[in-house]
Amino acid sequence: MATVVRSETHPDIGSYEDVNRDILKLLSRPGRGYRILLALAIAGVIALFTAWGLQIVLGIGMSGLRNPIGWGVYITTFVFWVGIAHSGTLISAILYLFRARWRQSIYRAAEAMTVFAVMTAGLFPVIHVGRPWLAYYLMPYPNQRMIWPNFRSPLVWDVFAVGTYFTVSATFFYIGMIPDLAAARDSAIVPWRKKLYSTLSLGWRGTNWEWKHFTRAYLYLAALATPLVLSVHSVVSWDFAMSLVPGWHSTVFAPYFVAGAIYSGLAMVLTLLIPIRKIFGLEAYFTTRHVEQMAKVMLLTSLIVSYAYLCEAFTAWYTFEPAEQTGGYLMFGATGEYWWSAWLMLTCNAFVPQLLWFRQVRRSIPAMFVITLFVNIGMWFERYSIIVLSLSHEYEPWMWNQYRPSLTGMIIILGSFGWFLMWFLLFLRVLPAVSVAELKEVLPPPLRRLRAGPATLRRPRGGAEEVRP
Amino acid sequence: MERRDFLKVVGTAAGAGALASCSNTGGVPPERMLPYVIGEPEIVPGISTYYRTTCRECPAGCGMDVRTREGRALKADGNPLSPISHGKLCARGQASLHGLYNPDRVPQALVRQGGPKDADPWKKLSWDQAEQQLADALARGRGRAVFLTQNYTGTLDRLVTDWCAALGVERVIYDTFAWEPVRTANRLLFGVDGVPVHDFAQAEVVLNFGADFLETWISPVDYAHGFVQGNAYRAGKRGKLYALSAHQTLTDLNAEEWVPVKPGTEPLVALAIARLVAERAGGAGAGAAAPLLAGVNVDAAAAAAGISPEKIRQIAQDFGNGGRSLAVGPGPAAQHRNATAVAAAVAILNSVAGNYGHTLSFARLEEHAGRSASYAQMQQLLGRLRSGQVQVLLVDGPNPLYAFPAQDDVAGALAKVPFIASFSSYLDETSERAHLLLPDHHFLESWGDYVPRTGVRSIVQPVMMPVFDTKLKGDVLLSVATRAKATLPNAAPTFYDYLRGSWQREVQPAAGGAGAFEAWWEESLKAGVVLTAGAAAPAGGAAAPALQAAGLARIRFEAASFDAAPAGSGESLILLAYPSYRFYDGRMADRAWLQELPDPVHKVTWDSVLEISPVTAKRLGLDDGNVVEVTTSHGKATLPVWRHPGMRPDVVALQMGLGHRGFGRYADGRGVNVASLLGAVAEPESGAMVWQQVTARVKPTGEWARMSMQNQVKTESGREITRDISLADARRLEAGAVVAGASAGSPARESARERYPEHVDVTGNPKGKVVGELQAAGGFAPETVTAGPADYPPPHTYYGEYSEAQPRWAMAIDMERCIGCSACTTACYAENNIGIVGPEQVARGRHLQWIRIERYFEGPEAETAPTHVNFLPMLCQQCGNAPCEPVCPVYAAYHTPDGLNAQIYNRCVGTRYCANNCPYKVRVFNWFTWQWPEPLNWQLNPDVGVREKGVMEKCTFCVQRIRDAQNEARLQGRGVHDGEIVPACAQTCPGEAIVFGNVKDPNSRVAQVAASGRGYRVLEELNTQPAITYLKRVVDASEA
Repeated sequence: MATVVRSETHPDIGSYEDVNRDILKLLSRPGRGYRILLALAIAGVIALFTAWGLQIVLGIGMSGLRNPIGWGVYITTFVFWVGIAHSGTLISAILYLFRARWRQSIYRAAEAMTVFAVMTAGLFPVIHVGRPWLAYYLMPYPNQRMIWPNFRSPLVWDVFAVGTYFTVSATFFYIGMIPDLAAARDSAIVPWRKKLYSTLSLGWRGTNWEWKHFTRAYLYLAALATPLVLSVHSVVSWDFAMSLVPGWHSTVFAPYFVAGAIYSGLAMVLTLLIPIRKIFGLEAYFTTRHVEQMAKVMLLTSLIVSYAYLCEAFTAWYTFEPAEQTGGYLMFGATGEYWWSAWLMLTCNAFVPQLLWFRQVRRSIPAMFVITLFVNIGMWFERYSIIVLSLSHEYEPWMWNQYRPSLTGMIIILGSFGWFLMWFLLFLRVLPAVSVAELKEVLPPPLRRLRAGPATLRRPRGGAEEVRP
Repeated sequence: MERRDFLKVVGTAAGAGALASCSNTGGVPPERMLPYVIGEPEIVPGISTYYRTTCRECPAGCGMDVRTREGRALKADGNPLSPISHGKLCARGQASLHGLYNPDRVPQALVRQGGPKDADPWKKLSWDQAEQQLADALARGRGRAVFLTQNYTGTLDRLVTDWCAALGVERVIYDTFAWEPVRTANRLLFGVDGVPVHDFAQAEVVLNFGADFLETWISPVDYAHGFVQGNAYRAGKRGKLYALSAHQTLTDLNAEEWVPVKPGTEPLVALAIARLVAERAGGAGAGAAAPLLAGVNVDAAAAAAGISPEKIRQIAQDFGNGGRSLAVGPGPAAQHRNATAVAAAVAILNSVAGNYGHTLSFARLEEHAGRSASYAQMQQLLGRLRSGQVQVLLVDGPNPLYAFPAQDDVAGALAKVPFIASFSSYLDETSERAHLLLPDHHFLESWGDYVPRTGVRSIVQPVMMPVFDTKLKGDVLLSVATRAKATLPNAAPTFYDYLRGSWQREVQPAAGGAGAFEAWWEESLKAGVVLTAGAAAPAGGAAAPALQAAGLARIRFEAASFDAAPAGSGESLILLAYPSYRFYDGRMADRAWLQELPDPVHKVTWDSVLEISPVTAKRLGLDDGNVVEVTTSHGKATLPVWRHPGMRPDVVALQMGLGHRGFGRYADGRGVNVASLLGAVAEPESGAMVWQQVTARVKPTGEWARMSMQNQVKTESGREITRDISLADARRLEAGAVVAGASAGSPARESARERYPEHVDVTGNPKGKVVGELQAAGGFAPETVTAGPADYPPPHTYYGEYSEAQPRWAMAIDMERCIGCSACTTACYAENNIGIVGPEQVARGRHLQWIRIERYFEGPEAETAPTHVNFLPMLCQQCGNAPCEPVCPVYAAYHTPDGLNAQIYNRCVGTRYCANNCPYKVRVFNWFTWQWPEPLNWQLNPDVGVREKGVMEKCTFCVQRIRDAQNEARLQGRGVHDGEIVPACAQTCPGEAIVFGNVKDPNSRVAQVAASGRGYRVLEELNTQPAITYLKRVVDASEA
């Protein structure tokens, strides 16, 4: 029986009151830096929709795509954002089921990132199609013509996979937030906030009965979301793996993509949280230990991804098929006109993360920030390499071509970061970005009884009645 | 707003809209509208009407069938009864509709008001005023008027000759390509000023000295058709074409062997071959040339030409052995300072080989090639213009301002003429200088006739009402004659009456037409072509003409000389100008279809390139697209290079036809005009323009230009898209034997066979024991797939909606019969409303061809010294197991019950997954909405949709024609006959390379052709079950 006075993960958090104060402080009036960032993000959104509108009016040719490279940066970015979306569910659901004790302070932000990343990813298939005004044809809706979508097409699977993932992760995100919303409601002063939180918290009062159902619901949702982490990106990978394109139709794609998704998702979480931690003074909540834990998972996934690169190269070489051998990144990619893309991918995803073997690197916040940036870039170029390289050099030499993204394409991609950042920044100011309730679970309970006299305390386990908003 | 009010408003608006659209008749006055309520008997809405006429885009005069719907011409094809076209057309003939509907046509009679600098110097005239102005001008300039025409034949020629005589006008006939050297040589050697009809179909060995007879030379469609018949593999035999040239044109790329002779040395080589042939024949046939041939030194000729004497001996051996052989040349592609000597040496070669009377004979002449003035005579005319001797100049056809070098100062000469009238329907360089424009009808709007060769009378009949307010030239001439009170023999009120009169008087008796003229005339119109005496080759061969010693003595059999390069830096290389398959001499440059068509050889669209040998390019550090500056003593041009593996290192080549100033939106300012680099040099003997005359300095500029081409590769990189086999293998395969090395194996199988001969059989499949071991170990055993279209669908498979009871549409394409001319591509554009994307989009790779001709240089050193070239028409393979179908999320790509891969444009969302997954890359995407400027949109085929941006499209096997034939057959209560359905590409193919039909019917032609031992399917190792069987090209025709 140990006496708990300080949390293992969060030694610098003093009390429940500290948590309430620090976290709910985020919801107060924003500073100048925040406003500038938000303005930049909104400018990005405006640029995104302007470029997209122009592309709809004039034609998808504005994207820089051409025959035979039918997919380019839009699908690259789609896969990139879907990948980013993975770590949220991983951290909140899988780590929850595994009772990982370091997830509490970061999972909310990671979940928010998931939801917004799926929202961003969801834009791209629509941006990408030639006639976006007919994109609803992909939905199975009852219609007079009695036509259903083609359930053999991986793109339809994609619609379902991403749709399901968005629904489940958004629900999970919201359900987990209800106690905190109630906390926010109780401390809110601004009328619209009061009204918003009152509505969203669904009349949460923190009763035992409520907590009982809440924890059950949360557990089941976590169990439901966990397989999705594996399924969504497997399905996305089948967009490629189910095809006949050399460099795409590989059986290694599903695990390869899932590992890559977790990899990139964790990198993105770190990329976002490291500055937030600094800016909002949340060092006590988001500690070096978190960074190190995530670095370890990143190292593992980096190794899986590197193995997949080797596998791809080996199978291509082993087939003797010239289309396979030059179609992927192996020969044509690493030596051809897209060499920079292939080497960026290998450097950022396979070589640079080897630094994570060193404890000093894992525990160095600046180093980790730089490494995660590398990984983000590398993972985008991984998808670019897979998509563009393969399509550029297929079976038919007469139709080999080179692709370069257009200005419109680049604006839309950058705009999508604005879109994502806008939602994330609004989230930081409107919703509790760190789970107040769950954080308190891992903190020592209020020291009321300690004051009364030394007593042995159990490790805190979901002590619901202790929550004092 | 009340519901009733709303309905009223909507009703009124819709009614007004409908009225407005009714009155939109494209410039035709309302009283001339066709009232469909009562209807012309031959016009049924929705049913096509076909009219026979004659193509007038080049002098060859192919018979043409034009499909019209609701009074608009939609599609041109060859007239199967015409001995010139055999039912086929080249790309230029296909593009004649773009001449008819050209948005830049002169819409009505115009008179010049301001100077050439004015924004719009033209004033509209009524035809009455315009004809009066012409009559007045002719009255003023009587005796000092010249009518410069192209080479008409037939009735119009008669009218113009009579008209000129009656009005005191001098007539000058001129065509840029007038075959002067050939005509001159024939005049000197045989006393015949003409060009004989060449019978390529009978020729087993052909020697070509720079005649591009598959592209522009004399009668290209007939010659291409004949060449393929004589040359392509059939029944164990194959012809042979030797190309002796410094630069391979499309024709030369079809040669089994290219002999890179030094430019200008063709007479020496030809004579050397003739000497060897004559020697072996014991001097027979040499006749008057015997002493000349006796003095020929074969080794010296070979040394001069830069080839080995053995090569000459080998060619002579083949040529003599052929029995029936043919030597041809020169064309404009070898028209140098001694071109007549080439023609004479070719004539001697044909003479000693005994070809006269067999593969060519003076009993039948190419009538259209006979009478043009030479370039030298044109220069004299220009001199007279310059000295002010000509008061009135009428022009119809020639465009000297574009075609002649700057030294001729055509502009200066034209400026001295007080009154120039042009009948041109297009504002080309020369007609832009005219004072009066009298735009003639396009030939598809005209009455007339044409005599392409001896005994062939081809009718030109209008297929639709004129698009613009133009007037038939014949009518204008008759009207002007009346105004001038001149009397013409057999004058008639209109040219139509004049024409009928002429046919009644002359053609009907000559053709042995019995009965009343009216009935015979209608029959003739239906046939489109009337054959009179002498049309057919004389049975058993005609008498061989004797060589005339006097003429022979006048010809200098020497190598031609070339002007030295101007002083300066850069590589000095001989500049070879050659005619364009697409633009002829430049007159077709205003056709968007032809501009968009990749050149059959270099595949560049919309622009000129300088062709250069890869060896020279490497020395100069040039890659495709690097821009060079070409300087000659006469001019300078800056353009990108394209490395042509089939040319000598000491030459560069530049195609004619581009570099126009003006001439409509599609031609203006594109590319480089070769004439701007040449001097005004006429060949002394024939007076022909010398195209090969200068040495140019080629200097890299260090810049790079993105060429407007999509397909930049030259070789297959080992992918085995095209396949070829030796003649011996072809014979054995035909007997049904499996031949190692000729198996339909994938590269992987080939490679496996080489590496593990003990484990795999000749086809690359693992041997029985290995299979057993694999299966015992639980591994996969390769399954042999019989991928023939006839085996479709394989047992226990279920492909889409395919129904066993339905036909399976399939194609067989014989690569032996494909000459790479790309007429199919243009035919496909015309049939299927394919958009024109323009040069910038082609450069980006947004070309919309549904059928493309892949041109691969072959051999171990294909990039620099290819052994041969394979052409492969690639179109949708209509796979049985199509990769495009399952990936479409919305069922836009699906399988029809008769086995087609259908694409439903209305359903297409534009995910482009189908195109990604198509290994043949035959699906093309509409990246933008493409425009058809009025009235080009009149040509759109109403049976085929027009696609907007964001839609995937591809070859449909011309499904509209399939359904048309099926409906027709159903109405008649019968099945569809084999051969009744012909897709547009197959219909126009001059080599008849494409066969279409139901492969499930074992008696169909396609099933029989596809069953050939040479058959293979492209990328069949992917198990796509393609419906197209390609027949391998047979290379190495040597007896093995």
